Amino acid sequence: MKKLLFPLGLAIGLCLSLLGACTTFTSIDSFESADRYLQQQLLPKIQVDSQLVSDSSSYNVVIPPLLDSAPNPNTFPLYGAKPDQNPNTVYIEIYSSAEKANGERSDERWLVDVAEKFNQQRQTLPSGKVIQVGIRNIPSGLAAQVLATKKGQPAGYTPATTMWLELLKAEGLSLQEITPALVPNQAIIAVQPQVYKELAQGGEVTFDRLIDAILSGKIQVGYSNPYIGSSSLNFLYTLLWRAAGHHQDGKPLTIAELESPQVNSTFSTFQKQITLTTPTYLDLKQIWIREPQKFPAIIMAYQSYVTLKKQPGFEKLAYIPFGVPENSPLVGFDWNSASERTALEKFAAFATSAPMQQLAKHQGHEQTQYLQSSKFPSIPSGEVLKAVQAFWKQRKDGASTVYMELIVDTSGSMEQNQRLKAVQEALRFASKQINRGNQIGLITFSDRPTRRIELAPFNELEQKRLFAAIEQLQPDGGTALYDGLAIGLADLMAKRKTDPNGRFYVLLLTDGERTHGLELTQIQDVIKHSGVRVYPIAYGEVNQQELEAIATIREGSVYKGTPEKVQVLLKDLFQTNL
Amino acid sequence: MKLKMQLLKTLGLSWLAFFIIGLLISWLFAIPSITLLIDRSYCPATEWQQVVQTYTELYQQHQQRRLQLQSVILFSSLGEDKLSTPLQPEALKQLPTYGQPQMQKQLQLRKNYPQAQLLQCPQ
Repeated sequence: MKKLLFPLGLAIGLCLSLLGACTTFTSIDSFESADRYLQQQLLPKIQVDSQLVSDSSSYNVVIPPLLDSAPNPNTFPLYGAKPDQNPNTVYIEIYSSAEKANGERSDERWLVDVAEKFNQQRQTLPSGKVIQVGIRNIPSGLAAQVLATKKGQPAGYTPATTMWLELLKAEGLSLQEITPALVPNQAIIAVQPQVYKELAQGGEVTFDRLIDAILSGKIQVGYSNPYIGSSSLNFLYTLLWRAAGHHQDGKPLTIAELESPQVNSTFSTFQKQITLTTPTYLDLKQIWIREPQKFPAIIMAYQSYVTLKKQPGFEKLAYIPFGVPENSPLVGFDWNSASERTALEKFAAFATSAPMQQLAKHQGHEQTQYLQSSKFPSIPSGEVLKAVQAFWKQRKDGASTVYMELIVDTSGSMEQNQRLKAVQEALRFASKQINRGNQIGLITFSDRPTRRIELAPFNELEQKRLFAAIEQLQPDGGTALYDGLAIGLADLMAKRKTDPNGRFYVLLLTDGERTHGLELTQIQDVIKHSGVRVYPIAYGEVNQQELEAIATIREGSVYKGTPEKVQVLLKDLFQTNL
Repeated sequence: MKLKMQLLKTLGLSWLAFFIIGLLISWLFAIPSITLLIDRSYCPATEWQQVVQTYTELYQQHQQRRLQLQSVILFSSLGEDKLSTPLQPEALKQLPTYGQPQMQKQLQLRKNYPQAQLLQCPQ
C-alpha cells in the first residue's frame, strides 16, 4: 500500500494540472479584458445576419413631415373622480405635475388626497350641480406639449412652476389664472454631506459657491432633461441668467445673450461635470437610493428631497436652493365653461385652506426661508425659455460624439397588440430628436441578431436609412436577447477604441424573456466593463429581474414601455441622450 | 580655569555674532514673496495664453527660489479658490475660463490682499 501512495498521488496531481490547463479561466476586470472576452469567447458563438440598408435604397426614401409628437394624455394615470355624464355633476379634470399627483406613492400624492377629500364633500355650484375633480398625473413639460398641440383640453393645469405657463403663452394659448400658488416648493441642488462639509470650510455654502465648485471640476452632478422637468429647466435658466450677469440688475436673460462667450463658456464647463442626464430627476433619485455614492449632488425639487432624507444613508443630505419658486400655479383655459371656472375656483380655495396646507407639509411642501426671502430671478418670456431649451439640446454634447445602438426585439410576440408597429412609429418620430453628428445603429433580434444600420454620423441620408430599415421590420421567431446585446456592445466598444471621449449607449427593447443564444451570466461582466450605458425597456412579459440587473450594472433604470407610451418614451430618451 | 572661561566666552560671543549676522543676511537678502490673484472669467484661448505665459515666468522664479508664490487664488464672479500649492503652468493652461468678469469681486480681493499681483485676461 505504501508503495502505491506516491504513484497514486502523482497521478492525481497530474490529472488536476491537466484539468486546470484545459479550463480557461478568464478574469474580466477592464475594458481590454472585456473586449478580448467578447471577441474571443462570445462573438464566435453568435450567428449574425446582415440586412444593411444600402445608400441607393436610402436616397429614395421620403420622410413625411414629423409633427411634434405630444403624448396621448389618456395614457397617464387619472386619480380622484372619473369623467361623469351625470347632468347633475360638473366634472373637471386637472393636469398636474408628478411630484404632487402620484397616487402610487404616499409622499407624492398631495393633490390626489386633496381631490379625494374635496369630492367627498360634494361641494356644489350655485346651480346645485355637484363638483367632482379628477387629477391626471402628467409631468409638467409633457402636459405643456399636450396643451400646446391641443391633444388634450382639461379644465385646469397645475405645473410645478410658472415657467411652463410662459411657454404655453408663447405657443398662443390663453390662460386664466385661478391661483398663483397651490402649494410651496422650490428647486434645489441636493448635496452629499461630506461634499457640503468641505465647501463649508471656506465659508457659507451659497448657490454661487456651489456652482463655482462644480465649474472648477471639484464636484460632479446628476441632471435631467429641461424639456420635461421643472427643476432642470429652472436650473438651466438660473445658470445662464447668472452667467449673463443678471444677478446684479435683476433683469431676465435675453435670447441674444445665449450667443455670448461668457454664457456659452459657463454652460459648456458645466456640461463636463454632469455624471448622468436622465429624462426626469425621479430617475436620478431612484438610482441614488440604490447607490448612495453615485452622485455627489443632483438637481431636484425640495419636496422630493424631504422624502429622500427619510431613506437610509440620506439622513444628513444637505441642499442649496436656487431659481424661481415652484409653487404649483393653477390655471384654466378659454375653452372652459363658466361652471368649470367656478368649480376650479372652489377647488383652489379648498386646496389652499389651512387643513390642506397642513397636509401638504407632511408630504414635504414647506414654506422655506428661501421662498420667504423673495429674492428670485425674474421669470422670462416663453420665447426665451424655448430658446434656452433649444440651446441645451444643441450644445449638451459639447465636443463629444454620442453613439447609441438601438437593439430591438422582433420576435413573434411583438405582433401582439401592434407592439412592433408602435415601436416603428415611435422610432420614426424620435429620429427628429437626434443631433446631427451623433451616431446611431440598429440591430434587431429574434432567433438571431440582424444588423440593419451600422453606426454612422446622423444626417439626412442616415435618417432616410433609418426609415427604410424600420419599414423592413417583421415580427417572427424567438428571442436571442443577449446575442443582440453582444453584437451591439461589440460595435460600440470598437468605436470607443477610436474615440475614447465619446459617450456610448444601448437602448435595449424587449417584450419577452431570452429563448435563444447567450445568457445574462455570460455577458454581464462584459457589460460592466464595456463603458456603455444600457437602457433596458421592458415592453411586455419580460424577465424583470434580469433587466434590472443590467440596469444596475450600468447605473441606470429599467423603463416600462407599452404600445401607447413607447412613442413618448423613445422621444424622451432620444431627446435626452442623442 | 581662567583659560577655560575665556574660551567659553569667545565661543559664545562668536556664535551670537554668527546668529545676528545670519538674521541680518536673511532680512537684507530675503526672497520676495507674492500672492497671485488669477481671474478665471471667460478669456479667449489666445489671450489666456498670455496669462499662462506670465504665470509660467513667475512659477519658474518660484522653482529657482528667486521668488516665493505665497498664495495662488483663482477667482470668478461666482467664488474663489485658494490653492494649497501653486498650480503647474500646464494645469493653468488647461483650466476652463467661464462667466462674466466682476469688478466688485476683484476689488474685494485686492482689498483683502493689498500686495497681491493680479493676472487677468488682457482686454
